[in-house]
Amino acid sequence: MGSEKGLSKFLKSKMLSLLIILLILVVIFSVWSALIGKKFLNTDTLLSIIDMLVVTSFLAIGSGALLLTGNIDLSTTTIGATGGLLLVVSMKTWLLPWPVALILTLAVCAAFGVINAVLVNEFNFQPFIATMATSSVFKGFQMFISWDKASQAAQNFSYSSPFTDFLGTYEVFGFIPITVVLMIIAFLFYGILLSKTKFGDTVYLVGGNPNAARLSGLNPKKISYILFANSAVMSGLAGVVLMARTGQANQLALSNNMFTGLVAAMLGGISFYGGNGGMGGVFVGLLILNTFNKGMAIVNFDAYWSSVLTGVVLVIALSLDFTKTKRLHKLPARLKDAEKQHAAAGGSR
Amino acid sequence: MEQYLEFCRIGKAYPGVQALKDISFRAEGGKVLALIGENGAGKSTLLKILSGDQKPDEGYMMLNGEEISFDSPCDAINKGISVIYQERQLIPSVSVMENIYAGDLPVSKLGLFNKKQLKKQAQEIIDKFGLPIDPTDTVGFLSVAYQQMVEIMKAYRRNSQVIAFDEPTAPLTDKEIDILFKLIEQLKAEGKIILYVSHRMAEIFKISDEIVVLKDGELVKTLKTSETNETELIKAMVGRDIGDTYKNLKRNNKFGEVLLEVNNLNTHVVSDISFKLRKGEIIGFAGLVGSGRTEVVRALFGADPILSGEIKINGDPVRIRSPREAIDNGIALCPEDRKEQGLIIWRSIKDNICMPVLDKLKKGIFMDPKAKEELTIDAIERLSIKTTNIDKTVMELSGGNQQKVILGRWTSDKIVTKILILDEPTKGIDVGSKAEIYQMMCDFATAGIGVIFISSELTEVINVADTIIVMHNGHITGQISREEATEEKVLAMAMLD
Amino acid sequence: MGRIKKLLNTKTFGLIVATIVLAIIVTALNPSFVARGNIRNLLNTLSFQGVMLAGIAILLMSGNIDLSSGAVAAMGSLVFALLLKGFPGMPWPVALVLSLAAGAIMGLVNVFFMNVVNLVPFIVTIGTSSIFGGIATVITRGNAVPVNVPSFLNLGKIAFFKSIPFVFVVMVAVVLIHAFVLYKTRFGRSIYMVGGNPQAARLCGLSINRTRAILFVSNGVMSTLGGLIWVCLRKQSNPASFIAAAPNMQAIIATLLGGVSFMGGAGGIGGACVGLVLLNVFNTGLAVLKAPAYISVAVNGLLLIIALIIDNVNSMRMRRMLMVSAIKEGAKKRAAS
Repeated sequence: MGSEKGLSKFLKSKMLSLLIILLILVVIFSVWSALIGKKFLNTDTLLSIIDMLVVTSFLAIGSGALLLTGNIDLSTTTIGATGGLLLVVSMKTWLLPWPVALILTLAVCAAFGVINAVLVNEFNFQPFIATMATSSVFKGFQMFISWDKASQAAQNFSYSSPFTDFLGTYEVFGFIPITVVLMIIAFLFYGILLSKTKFGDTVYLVGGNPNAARLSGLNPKKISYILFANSAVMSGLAGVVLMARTGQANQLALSNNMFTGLVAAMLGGISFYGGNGGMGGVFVGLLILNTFNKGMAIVNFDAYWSSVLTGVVLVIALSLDFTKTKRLHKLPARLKDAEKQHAAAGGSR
Repeated sequence: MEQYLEFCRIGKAYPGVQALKDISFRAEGGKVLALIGENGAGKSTLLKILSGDQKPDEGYMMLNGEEISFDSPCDAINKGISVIYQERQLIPSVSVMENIYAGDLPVSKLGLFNKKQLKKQAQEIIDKFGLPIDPTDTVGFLSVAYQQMVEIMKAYRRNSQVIAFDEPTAPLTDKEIDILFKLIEQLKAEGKIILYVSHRMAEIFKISDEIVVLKDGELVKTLKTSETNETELIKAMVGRDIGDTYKNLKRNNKFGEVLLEVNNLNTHVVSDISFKLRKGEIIGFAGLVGSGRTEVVRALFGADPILSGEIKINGDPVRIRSPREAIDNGIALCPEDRKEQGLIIWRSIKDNICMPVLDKLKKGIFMDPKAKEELTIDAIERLSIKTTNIDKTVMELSGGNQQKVILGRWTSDKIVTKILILDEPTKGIDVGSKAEIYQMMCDFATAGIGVIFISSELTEVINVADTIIVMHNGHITGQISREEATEEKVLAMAMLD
Repeated sequence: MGRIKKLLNTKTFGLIVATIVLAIIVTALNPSFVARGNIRNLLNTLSFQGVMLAGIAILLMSGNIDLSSGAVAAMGSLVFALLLKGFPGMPWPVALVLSLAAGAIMGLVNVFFMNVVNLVPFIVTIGTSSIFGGIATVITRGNAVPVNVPSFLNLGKIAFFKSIPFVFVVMVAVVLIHAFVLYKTRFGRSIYMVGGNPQAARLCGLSINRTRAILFVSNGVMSTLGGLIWVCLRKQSNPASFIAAAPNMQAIIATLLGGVSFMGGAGGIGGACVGLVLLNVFNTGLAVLKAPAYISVAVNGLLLIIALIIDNVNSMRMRRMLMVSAIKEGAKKRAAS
């Protein structure tokens, strides 16, 4: 009786295999880069990996938490770009003080998330199609706020202000970027929220079986609304951070990261079918993705391949997740139902 | 040549249950053979074997003297067997004629789809049965009854020799039933072999020529309809030995004041439900599957919307709009489908037990792992759940232990359960665990909890419950005490037409 | 007479009326909408979108979805351009056939992940879209590959009666062939059955996997053909800008708008085409009226949501009749009678 503790639990966990993959990647790239006369393991690489990590981490936290309940948001990057633009527009054009601008930005993002949740919960849309459709609407909004009448096109903004400069460049103790601190805080906050609080327990239970959770007095709908809104707010934050770090805001921001959050979450062990995995996994998953990308860059791998690799990793992560889930659970009824629905419902969800 | 379908020594076992044992009988062409039996008697397993959905462990089937076996439902259809289930195998968005001829659409000489020909052929079949359906109508917009007719015409078109009906009249009105029976008469006249599964006595006497009675997976009797009567049939369906299990139960016989009072409750499915539950009392809900028992308790538990009616707990009217509100009012539900609605089978025993009381397992703003563990260990010990570890996933447990996990959830000291509802708690679990669960129910009653117990197994309802409420078609049709209850009486109320 | 009456009641008829009304309004506001150049542009756009729409619409009817067709089109047409560039002596029809074959192979890749690995179409095609599109970008490094074969490019310039482009006729032919298969062959009818209720279709001896395989391969070919029409009109193959223009998304929106159910099993090619015309009249209209681009972006999304809501309501109604526990229906009826 009692629960498994400490080392033995860790040895059996997914985390260990993730860390081993990470280690293998590091070794491969160290050897590979040494062969072509470059150095992989140094502070520069590390800092640059962390640098790339920051923006995507916000996306991954939002997507990961949402994926825990088996839902998916494809509008995150659009919302993120909107977040960056809205902040700049509200400070530069509307001359709002930064706290007001920031709150306005995040509130609009949250509203977008709620719209997604309404379509999914009240109209029974499949999350994919709902968020794909809304991302077009959000894109319209994004273009609207950044519209330049003279050129009849959406503008690219270059912007700097004490607030965004501080967010983008300030370094704690002179060497840790403030955004990294924010990222760590975010991971710790969500990690603790999900693993230590009632809210977290509820998310996992709802993700495991919404019917049973409801009949045990939990409220799956409420959780869905909160997580869709949260995913949107986190995407908005990612956009704001990216804006602050680059000093730029435009429509294309984050456009390469449409699936980064999703893939990191799945790599980190959150199942496509909900109910399993955690923030630690997401972090390491993200670390693996970024190490991989950085490694590829260092060994001079063609940057144009990134889109191909994204697709490959997405499909592999999905296949692995599917076979794993199938093996572990021998496809219990819930999954079979989900499949039936796929089959019936345009073979998607 | 005479046509016949013969079942020879069919046997089928599921883990822990012998669903069918040594079933042999013969259905002849041009006759309707009715299959009757209580829930769990093995009728649906037999139909599943006939439709190729399941394979028998023992025995075989013969059609016109030739042995037949099926690899898949598709195979069975090709070999001339059509089983018409309540869940229709139709394509809702497509026309009637295409549904009838699905998989075998007529083509012209050029190999092209011939719509005119199809319409003509379909119209011929529709006319043969004298139905007012247009072959070009979309099936999804037809009434349930006509959809069923389309399914029958589909079977007819395939030239199926064997047509089996599974409770075909359940969704139909009396007028529609007449049409259905006319159809069956016609099929009979054409020499088809017809199997007819139903719970309704009146219908069986009206339509069938022969009756096969199943009980607990065994064939009890084969009767000629003309030579039997209702009483004899009911007797054949029930009348099993009552084991010592029930005699040895330590029951509670001190009932307190009225705990739950339901007055004129209406939902989308059930109407005019009124009853009273006292402290320490076990009320059993009997009735056929689909008679509305589950819907009553789901409404009480806030899982389905209540249209009108009054619920009083300890004399005070309460409003229950969600399971949470029901739980806060001291109502607990162990749902009918353990895996779909009761448990999160991928997660641990601990998670499943702590689910409704997360609020009370906090230390400050965080969850208290120790409290969770204690609560779980307490439940495991109290209900003697067999497990090595509180972190084991629920899917690794046996059915009986899974049921105990749900019971453990509602009976901890962190939750005040005044009314405990168990919907089919013994479904699919072994005899030993069943006895344990009966005793637990009695123990809860002794502790002053009011228990509502739903079961499709008549024997257990009338032997465990103190008061039995019988439902039929969404209404309460009778209430009877354990002392007076016999299976015959209850069955008569449950099958009342 | 009955036929005409029936037609007047359909959703397609409503869409046609909406399209005409819209066209009239736009013309009234700005007569240059019906200028020859504008109409010709509109027809050109309809050509490659229409070809893609034909494959996508049939897929949706069968209960599948393909989000990779934009990338397949980009990659397939790139193959064409590269073949002509790499083998200057090669006659363009040979290159055309080879590139269509490339499209078919990409369709097969999708089929592999769905039928063999058992993944859901939505996610598979998102992944493969990224892969195919990515490979195209890797090859071109984001640049365009020019096509300088006069006999091929001339096809883009030919127009009948000075305003109906040859490529538009190609599109009409493709759509008619699809309609023919859909309405006049057993296979076509079986698409509706597989899409409407896979379980029941299987029981009628129809193979879901086989249907899916055929349709995805054919959609790969059709997408590539759409891509080739685009190449023919632009005189170059530019995968990056093709993918960015997302004509496949336009086709999906148009298909849903035209009454093809996202749940599969319902709708027709005609409706989908009218949907496409409506969508393009709308977009061109906005452009002619000098409405800012953001309006059309947002409205496209809104139209998709509206089409889905209507579709959802319809199929829920139909499914409720069939799927919801038959007993409940009976109980209700009894209570009422």
